[in-house]
Amino acid sequence: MENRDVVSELLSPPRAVGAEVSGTSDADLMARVADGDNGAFDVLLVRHRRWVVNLAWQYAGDAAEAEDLAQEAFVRVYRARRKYPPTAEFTAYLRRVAVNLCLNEARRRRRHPTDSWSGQDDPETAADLPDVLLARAELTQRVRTAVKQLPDSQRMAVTLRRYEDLSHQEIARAMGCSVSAVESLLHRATQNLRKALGDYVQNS
Amino acid sequence: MTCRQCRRQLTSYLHKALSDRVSESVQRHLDHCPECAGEAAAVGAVWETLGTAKTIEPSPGFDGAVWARVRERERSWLAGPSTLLRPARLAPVAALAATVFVGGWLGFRHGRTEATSTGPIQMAAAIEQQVSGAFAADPPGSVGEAYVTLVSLSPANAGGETQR
Repeated sequence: MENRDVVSELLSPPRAVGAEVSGTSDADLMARVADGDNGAFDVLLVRHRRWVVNLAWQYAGDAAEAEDLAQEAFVRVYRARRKYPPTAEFTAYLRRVAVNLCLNEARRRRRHPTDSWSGQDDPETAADLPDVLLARAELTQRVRTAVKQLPDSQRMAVTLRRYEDLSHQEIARAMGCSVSAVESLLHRATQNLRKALGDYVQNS
Repeated sequence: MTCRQCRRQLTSYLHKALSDRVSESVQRHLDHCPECAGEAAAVGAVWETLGTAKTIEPSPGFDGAVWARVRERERSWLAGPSTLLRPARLAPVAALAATVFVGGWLGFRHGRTEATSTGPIQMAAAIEQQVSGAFAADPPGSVGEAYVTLVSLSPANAGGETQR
């Protein structure tokens, strides 16, 4: 399996099948949470925390900030437990909450540049790697920098497409915009990334 | 399909997000246009490159931190000021209350000054006296005599002497 496929698989949120692991769907668990069963929310946390943290991390590029955003997303969902529409797909619902939090935080940080995300906490630093992997680490850093420099909405569309492996329709739902707007965002993001990664793209 | 149209669709084409009809149209264009085919390869390479990103694991205390936040919010909701009492929301109400208070206070002071002032009363008495004096010599049955009689019957002069 190619590296990108492994990454996609690891990052993909559980779909409908995954939601039935313990025999109870996410929607049923949310109904139980609304009735005061906090244990049901613990199950939802275990099921979904990983992809929410990684979504925030791919977007923010900062592990501590990603944890913070992901925790806040779960808190918001819990606090709105009685308003959760039983017909909604929980993963899409949670993703929408997390995406909104990420975009709002990015806007807030743009207004306060001193709070900008560091994006310097890549788990592997060059010093830790054997020489053969240095080039890959360098490329990874270059990719992260290029993605980080994209405008907020383009960066979110790329994150959802590449690292969450969502369709354009799903991205539109998560971002609250039209499919054609998503296509436009991804097209412009591709152009920007191509400029930023020019030599790597040509050598690949 | 023009080269410009084709290039705008390339990302969606590579993501297999186009309808069959549009996708076939892009494919036909790429088959005959080496420039756009090269562009498609470059766009594909960009997205391949993005696939090298890593993943992280949530910290061991993630769930506990979520519950701590939930409890903290619930405590602050119960113990703290309600959302209606936030300073930002109270500001217009406070401004209105201050306006009403200051306006009421000024109105009260002004009204009391007017009520206790004797200036206008004295002025009216002086005018009356002057006018009455001017008509004092008028013969009986004249308008001047009637005015002097009316003034002498007013409450201010009741029980007093007429100007005549």
